Amino acid sequence: MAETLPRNYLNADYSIWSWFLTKDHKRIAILYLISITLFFFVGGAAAVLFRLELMTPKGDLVISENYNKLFTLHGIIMVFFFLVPSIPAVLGNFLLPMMIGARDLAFPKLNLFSWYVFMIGGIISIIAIIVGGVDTGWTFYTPYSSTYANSQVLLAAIGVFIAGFSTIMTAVNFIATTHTMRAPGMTWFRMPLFVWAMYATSLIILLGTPVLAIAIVLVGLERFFHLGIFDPALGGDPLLFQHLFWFYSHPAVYIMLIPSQGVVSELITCFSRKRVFGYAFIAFSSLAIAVLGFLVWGHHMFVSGQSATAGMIFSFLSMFVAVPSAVKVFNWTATLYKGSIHFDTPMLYALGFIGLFTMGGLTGIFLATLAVDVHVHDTYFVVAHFHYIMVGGAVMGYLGGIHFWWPKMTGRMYPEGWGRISAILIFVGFNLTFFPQFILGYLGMPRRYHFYADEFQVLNVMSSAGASILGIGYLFPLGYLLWSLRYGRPAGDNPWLAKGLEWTTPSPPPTSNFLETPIVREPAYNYPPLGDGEGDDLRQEKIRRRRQGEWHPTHPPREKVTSS
Amino acid sequence: MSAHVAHHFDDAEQQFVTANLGMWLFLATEVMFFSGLFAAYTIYRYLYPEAFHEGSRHLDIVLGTINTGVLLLSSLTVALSVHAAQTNQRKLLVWLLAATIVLGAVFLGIKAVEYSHKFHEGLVPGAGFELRHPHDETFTDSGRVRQVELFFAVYFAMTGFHAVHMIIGLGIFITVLVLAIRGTFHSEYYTPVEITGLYWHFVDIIWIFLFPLLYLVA
Amino acid sequence: MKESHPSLATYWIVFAILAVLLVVTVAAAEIKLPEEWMNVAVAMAIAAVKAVLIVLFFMHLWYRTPIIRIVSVAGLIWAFIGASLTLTDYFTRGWHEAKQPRVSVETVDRVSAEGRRRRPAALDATPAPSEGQINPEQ
Repeated sequence: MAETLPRNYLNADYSIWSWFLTKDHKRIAILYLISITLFFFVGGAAAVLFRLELMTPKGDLVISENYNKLFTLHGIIMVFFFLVPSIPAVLGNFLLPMMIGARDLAFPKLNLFSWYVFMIGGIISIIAIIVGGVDTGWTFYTPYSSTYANSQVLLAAIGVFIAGFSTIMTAVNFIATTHTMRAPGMTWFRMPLFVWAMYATSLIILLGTPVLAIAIVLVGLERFFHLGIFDPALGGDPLLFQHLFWFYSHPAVYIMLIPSQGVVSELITCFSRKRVFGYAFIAFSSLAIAVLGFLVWGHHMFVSGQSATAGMIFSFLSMFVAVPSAVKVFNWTATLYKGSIHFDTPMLYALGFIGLFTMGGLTGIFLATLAVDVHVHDTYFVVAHFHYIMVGGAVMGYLGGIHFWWPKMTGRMYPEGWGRISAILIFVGFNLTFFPQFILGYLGMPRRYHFYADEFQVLNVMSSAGASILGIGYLFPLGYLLWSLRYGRPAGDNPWLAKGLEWTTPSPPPTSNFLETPIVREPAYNYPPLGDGEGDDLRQEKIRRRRQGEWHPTHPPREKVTSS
Repeated sequence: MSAHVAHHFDDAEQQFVTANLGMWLFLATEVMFFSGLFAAYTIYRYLYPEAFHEGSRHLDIVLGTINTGVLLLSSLTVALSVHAAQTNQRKLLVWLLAATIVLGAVFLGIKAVEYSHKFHEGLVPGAGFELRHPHDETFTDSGRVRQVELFFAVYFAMTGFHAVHMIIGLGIFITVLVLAIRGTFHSEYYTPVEITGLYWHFVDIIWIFLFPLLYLVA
Repeated sequence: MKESHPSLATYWIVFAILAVLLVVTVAAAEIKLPEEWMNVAVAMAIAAVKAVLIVLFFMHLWYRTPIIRIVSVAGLIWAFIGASLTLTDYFTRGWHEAKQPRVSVETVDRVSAEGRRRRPAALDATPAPSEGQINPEQ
């Protein structure tokens, strides 16, 4: 029978302007969700095309210039318009206020403005692609980008510049909110680790993005006004651009990674039914990554002409930045130990994250070693390394988070069977795509080339085959998540029996989140102790659901066509 | 009188503290933005000290000093305007805000005069750059002259971005002025005046560093 | 607002000091110190004093909570980190550069000719990259 849902943030007002002029952080999160999903598939389409090209050693699908435009498109869209905003702008926006017991973020209008700024930046970048594309690589290296390129560098640079402001606004909002709007009793060390991750990420965004802004603007000035700051003919140094660019873009990879680590902390604890091991260490490690991440950017420039001394300094410093991430991996593992493990879809993504991120991180150490990097720089080894972190790590964390909080955001459960199949498909497809690239890189295949020596073809075909599996794997969640909006079973307030203030609200939550300001008295992740016998509370709940045929005690059972 | 407390805040105090924190966080990003330019300046001055001496001699110290004084005075009027809002002196607040805007416009006017001088002397980087009257005789060969062009690239980038920030600041102050004329501000609520003031002081501080680095090299 | 804030007198006194320091800055630039960096250091020190006065009294940092004070210096510290590490590159160029290549030019030529002899096909099959004119977009 039909049931009328109570007033929540989704049904509070159905008009289009109530969405486009909303100040509700949850609606803004949904706006971001839709936008970045669109951008993800645009960037993915570029990848489909160039993986297709790379199936043969000759450059026969597209000419070189267009190939350059394809990988540039892929990089710019995926980095600036998908990965950087993904978890902060979607999950962070939705959950941060709820997790600390606040009614909204500190600056709701700024939040909405950030989405508009993001969209303007994205639209300008799409226009840049449509009117000819950019072929400089997402890294915009000078002097090619500042003087010699004939492509739409200026437009693309403007698009990225504008999008950067959007992230800065979000970061200011998150930091201010975390400092001043925590509910009574919500001390710093009772906050979910996801909030710590959002805070650390916001610090990086705050301090790094402006330097990218100035780097890009200077390229634009050089192109347009001939202010040749990077022009060697004037005595300028093209390497200065690289210093400014990587000063942001290395911390940027932690902007893309730390939120995902925050999600994984939430998933691991919930699906092992255990408090996180070493809460304080994980919290501080997020801050440590944020700080250390700013000291290592020169490891992208070992063979660029940077001085050997600087190279050695950066190589040495880069060794340290792995330590906090390793601390997290150890602590998650210790959380799993003697936990009561549930293999629901979000957990599959979290476990996949731990394995793949570890591989990506370790290969990062290889690259940080100066002498090794001289051999594999600008090869597919680097490409494989960062995709293990960004896709095997960050994207899997994002998908895990989307699945975990989907019932909270929409009030609906996704079909669990499809969820697990997709997770496995993505895991398999991912490894098939990118593991061969480690080997290709080590053997010497350079990146950003669409023709290669014949002997590399087998591995390239393997990689492209994996990419097709991965692509299909990504389409499944798009399908069943949309399906669940209409046909998914109503989820109830807390389908995972998770700890956290967000789970104490109805699903979907009301516009002001909490009817009364919560007062926090217990530590984070206060799961009941695991005893022997019938299993933990979630397992008992799952058994009850299966036995009684009902998902949630307050929802009437769904109408069945055939009686049980 | 309502204290304009937004629904998601518990009280006016929380709102004020949060707004302040938000603006200081934004100013931190502005520090980082200009730091890239200061880094470029440092590197190129380290590499080409004579070219920087030569280029700086072509800048007008008198106008630069006047501009610095104008900005310092405008910082005073801004600080006094916040005080006026805190003490419910609406008329004084309006006059001080107007004075700030005028002083800012004076600064930009003098800057425009300086820029037009550079334009007429052929000192704007690009194809038309030429060092017609070098103060230092050794600046004849094209390599050295191009280093002076690099100085001017840095000069225009730094003062140009500073001017853009001033224009934005003036725009915001005009809005604040309009609100002040309407009587929006009083001792319980003057947050926009305060935080716009913070922004303006920051822009002043940037100039305080730019002035000796660009104008007082020689 | 239960904020404590500077008195009018404080503002005027600070302004007077700033004006004096402006004069000092210009005067100090006339004095040529033995090393160039000393002049820069003096100018920057005076500018820093002015900045601190503005931050503490005009921007009210003297009266603000610790977190805002930390934020106010965070940007400076980070800018300092960025600039210093970048400068380590520029200050150390030429320190470790090899005086002569370890491998002789003849060896390099011989090895690359051999490589070209062995693998002619794959690389030549592609069309030549489109001509890149030195013609930045307007």
